[in-house]
Amino acid sequence: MLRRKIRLADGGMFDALNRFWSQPDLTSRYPELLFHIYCVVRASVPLMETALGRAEELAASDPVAAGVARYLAHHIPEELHHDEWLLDDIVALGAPREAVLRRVPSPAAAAMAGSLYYWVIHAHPLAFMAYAAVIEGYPPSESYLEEVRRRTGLPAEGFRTYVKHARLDPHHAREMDEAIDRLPLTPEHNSLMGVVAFQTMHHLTALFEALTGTRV
Amino acid sequence: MSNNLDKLKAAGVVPDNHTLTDADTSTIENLSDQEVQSLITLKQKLGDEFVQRNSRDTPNCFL
Repeated sequence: MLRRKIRLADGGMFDALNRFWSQPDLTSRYPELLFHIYCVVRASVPLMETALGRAEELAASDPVAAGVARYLAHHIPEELHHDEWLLDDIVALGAPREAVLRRVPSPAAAAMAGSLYYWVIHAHPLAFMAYAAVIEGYPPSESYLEEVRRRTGLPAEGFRTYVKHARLDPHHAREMDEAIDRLPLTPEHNSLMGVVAFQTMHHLTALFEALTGTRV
Repeated sequence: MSNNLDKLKAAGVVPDNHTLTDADTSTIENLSDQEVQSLITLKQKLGDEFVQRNSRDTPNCFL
């Protein structure tokens, strides 16, 4: 059900993604994209740990929270160091590491990650699953990444993390969908997941539109 | 009493002339009030871009 809702509403997001990846000055924009994604991904493990902590608090009396806790406990180790990989890629494209670490984070990334903290803590940790279903639901293909690399002329070292995700995310997306399907969700849970998924797509759209110089 | 699709069309989220599949119509009609309001508040478009996405081959990726 969640995947059908996401596909229903993902057109605007895809439009923004396509305009970003199709722009003529992608060579100069791609490193900036990596910074924005780094800002999002550096929050991934802390977000997952927050969601896990909240899920464990609820688990004794909440089977959905218990299922979310099991999923997160299994998957947090898989997400470790992804921010460091991205930082390495950004440095490989010419940015000094210290300058990246000192730079004020992306407001778009802060809005996306920050809103999820709200949902996880104040609604239900299940919200993380909806967020992850969006951001991991559209993995890149290695052939497409190679096309972008050739088109931009940027070094392959700037695409290492994207290539890793091209290999890992199809598996993650299937595991995520299967984990969600196993949860005894109520209509309220499904409603929360839909709202979080729609908001996540909205934030992603805004992030990519800002990087393309367009805003609706 | 208007259904979810009527509400989304009235809010400009779905264009009047857009044809949805039966599956999409069913998904829309099964959205909660909160999900419908979320789409309206976020001004998420389910119209032209939706159609274009279905006909495009270009892969898309975030991470």
